[in-house]
Amino acid sequence: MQDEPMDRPEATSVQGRRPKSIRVQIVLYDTDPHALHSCLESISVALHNAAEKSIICDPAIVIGDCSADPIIDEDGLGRYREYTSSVGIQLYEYTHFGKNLGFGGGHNKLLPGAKEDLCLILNPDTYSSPQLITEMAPVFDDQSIGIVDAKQLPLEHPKSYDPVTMDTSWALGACLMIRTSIMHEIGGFDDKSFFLYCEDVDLSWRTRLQGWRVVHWPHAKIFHDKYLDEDGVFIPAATEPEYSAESSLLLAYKYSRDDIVDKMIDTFLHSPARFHRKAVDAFQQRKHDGGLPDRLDAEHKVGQFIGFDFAEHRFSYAD
Amino acid sequence: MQTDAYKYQFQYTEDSLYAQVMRLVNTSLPAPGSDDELIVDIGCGWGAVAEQCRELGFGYLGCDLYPEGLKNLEQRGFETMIADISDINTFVDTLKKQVGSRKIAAFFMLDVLEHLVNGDKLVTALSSLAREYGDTRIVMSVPNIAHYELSAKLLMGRFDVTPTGLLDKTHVVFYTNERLTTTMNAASWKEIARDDYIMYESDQRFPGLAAPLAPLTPLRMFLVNIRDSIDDFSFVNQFVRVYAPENNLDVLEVKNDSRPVISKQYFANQIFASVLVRTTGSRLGTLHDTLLSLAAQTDSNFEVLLLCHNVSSNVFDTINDLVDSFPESFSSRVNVVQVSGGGRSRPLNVGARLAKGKYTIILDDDDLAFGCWMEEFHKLGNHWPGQVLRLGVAVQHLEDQPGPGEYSSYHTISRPRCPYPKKFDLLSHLHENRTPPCALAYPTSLFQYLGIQFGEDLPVLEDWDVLVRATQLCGVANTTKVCALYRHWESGDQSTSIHPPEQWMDTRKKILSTIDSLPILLPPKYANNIRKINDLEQVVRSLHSERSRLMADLSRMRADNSGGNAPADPQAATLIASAAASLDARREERERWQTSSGDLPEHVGYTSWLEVANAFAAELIQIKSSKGWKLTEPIRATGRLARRILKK
Repeated sequence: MQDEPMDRPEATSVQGRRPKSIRVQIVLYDTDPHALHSCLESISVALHNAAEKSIICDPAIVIGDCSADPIIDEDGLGRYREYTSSVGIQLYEYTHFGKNLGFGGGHNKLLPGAKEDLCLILNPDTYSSPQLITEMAPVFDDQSIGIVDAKQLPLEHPKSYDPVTMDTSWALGACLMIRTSIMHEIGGFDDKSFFLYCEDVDLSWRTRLQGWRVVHWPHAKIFHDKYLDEDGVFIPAATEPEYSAESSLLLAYKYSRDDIVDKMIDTFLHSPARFHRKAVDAFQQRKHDGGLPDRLDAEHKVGQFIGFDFAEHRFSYAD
Repeated sequence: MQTDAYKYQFQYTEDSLYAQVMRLVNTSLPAPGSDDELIVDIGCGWGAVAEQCRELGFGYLGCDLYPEGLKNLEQRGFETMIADISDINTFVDTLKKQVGSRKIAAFFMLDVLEHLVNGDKLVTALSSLAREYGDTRIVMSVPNIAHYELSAKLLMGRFDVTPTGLLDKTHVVFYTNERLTTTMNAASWKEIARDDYIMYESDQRFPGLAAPLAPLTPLRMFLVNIRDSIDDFSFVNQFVRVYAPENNLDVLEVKNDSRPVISKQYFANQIFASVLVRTTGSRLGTLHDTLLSLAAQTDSNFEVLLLCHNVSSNVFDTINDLVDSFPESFSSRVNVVQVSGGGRSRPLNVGARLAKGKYTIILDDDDLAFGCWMEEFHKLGNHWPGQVLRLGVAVQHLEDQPGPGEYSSYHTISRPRCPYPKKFDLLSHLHENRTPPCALAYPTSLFQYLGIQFGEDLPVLEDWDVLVRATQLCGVANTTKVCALYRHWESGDQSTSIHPPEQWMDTRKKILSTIDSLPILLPPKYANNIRKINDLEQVVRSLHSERSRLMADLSRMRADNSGGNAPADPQAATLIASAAASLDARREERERWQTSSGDLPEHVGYTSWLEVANAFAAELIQIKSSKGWKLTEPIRATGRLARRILKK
């Protein structure tokens, strides 16, 4: 990681800076309409606030829908367009894919033709801080930075970051901003390997392999609701254990860490959870079929495996 | 036959209402230039204050419908006028003719208003007359229908009308402080002085030994405490007030003790909750996060009162800008309020008074709500209306994170934990506060209609004091679902680090002393908890005596062993020593915490006592069933027998 201290970009002044064009990509899958409404309203205002300060220009929101039936009907689309245009969002696209392409697949499908300077990958179950874009976009004034992620609330992600340079191992896909040029250059998410989970880690590491920095910007904030059980233990989303187990194995393989792959397989095979054994089966099947990803980072420059985490963590929600 | 007039033939004595009225008159009315300045005593009866008015230099004109009293006044040398004040226009015309060019210094209406169906119209007419005559005031004495003893009588299902007094049978309109104030203000009279007439024992204290009335019963103490919290008029027998016409520039400001007017319509349209967010503006970064978590709620049926306490105008503007930057669907529900002076509790009291929601909830500017926070409160409130609502809350530790940025940055350094009891228990809360503010929703009526306030004299623990009082009155509806994060700073200005331990200790003592001075109201089925606690105390006591006996046996075994008589059982010895040490350590720890800290952690609370006692009991069984213990029993039995013989 880069050691140069990072100066805070001045968010309120535009002197000497060209406003950056920006697109926000959101992929839906059986999304709660109330949550979607909150997401769109809050990101629209965040874009509007940044545009008012000439930090960004030409904001666009593009939505892909992986649900079996469209989440947004014509009337709803009309209402959203009316609202977003009232706060100066110039483009608003909605595409129903008709099938579940997965997180990365959905975003990749939205990407062709994207010409904006910056691309915000955003989960539909989030509520953006009104300063989200105002804080995130100026970070790219530093030409070495390729990706920036935001602080999640109410439960902050425990992955560490350098308090001076703000460099971090990877960026959270629930709300990450990336130069659109990088997305095109590296081919977007690796949706062939990762259906759900770890695609953001992979995107971050491939970006870093290209020489770009990935930073965490704690002043940019997003509310991404999570749940705790009555003892305060984190309750993962229903899909997380299964998909993240398989994705973790593929990530370790892709980043040339056979030692981690072996360790994971050993752990998963001894786990009472059926999804762990299922993940191993799926991995072995891919291996047999020749469907494993191409290997990267043979010298272990970017891939970081601390236990089964992909960065140093300040604490663990699983303790 | 005597008319009703004779029953009002009251005398002026130094401890009477009349003396109190005249003292107030003396201090609040300008001294008369001549006896051309009149006191017009409307409904004067026998003119109990006529001589005192004359002594102050005023002329006196007594007006009444009954001639008996007027005749008596005339015999005493005073001017009178027969007047039927129910016919207002005629009365006013007659009065103007009678007064002529003289000045009216004041109208007196002593215990008159409550006899009039159209009293409001009369005071309105007098208000117009006052303007015609210049600096005329009105002096009122009005019985208080909200005297505690009348409430107590209603509690017993009694409304005992009497010939005179608080429930005089000829009273037709009843006044509380609010109603009197509203009536007078509507007539353009503004209060300038008051000296209400207090009677701790009114004429309604009968039967005097009934529990709600007898002075020292717990029931009366409990009810009086509630009544006293609500306003200052629990034992006011008559409101004694002086008013001036509202446009009089010389009026003095008096205490504004009016409360929100209750209307059924208002309550029907009330939003669910008001969230009080207090901030001193020192952590704008976390304030932003708190607001973000509120904006992201799945249930938006609430308003936010953002209470900026002692902040500079620059910071106030910054906070307003922050609020305005949110989507209008949220920012329109946020009311930014500037609060000056007072301690930590001041903004809470200001917010609780302004709250428009059915419930009032505190979320400080470094706490976070999960998306379901309001929705869960709302569900509980629908099921258990009027109760204090309590959710699960996790604690997470934070630390400052220096780095670039205009706002101070921070990050979390621990996973959330839930150290608070999952189910609310009043008894444990009488020891220490075991519920953070963001876990609780209080019915707003507690603050607006039952007089509960956050103690502004308390530097810390102000929420504990309110919690104990509120939960007794309302009960608690509880869910274990974790819906908020109560955040502790490992660095910076957490209240635990700002306030020294002595301050916590002193405040705790003060609150405990208040709790101890009053009867406690416990919820249904609570007697069973008390029985359990009593049982536990007995178990602990018997364990201690068992422990002493075992230790004595052990030392005797050691002594015997050293004399070569019998082998000590090493297993038993170890178990006894360890169990005794564990019991002692726990007791010492509890004592240490009780004297040094405001909060008792879970592991030294009652629950853990029970665990220790159970563990000790299990160890005793193990000791007694050990082989060595059984083998040495004959020796101990012999020893016990020998000691009994020696004692005899």
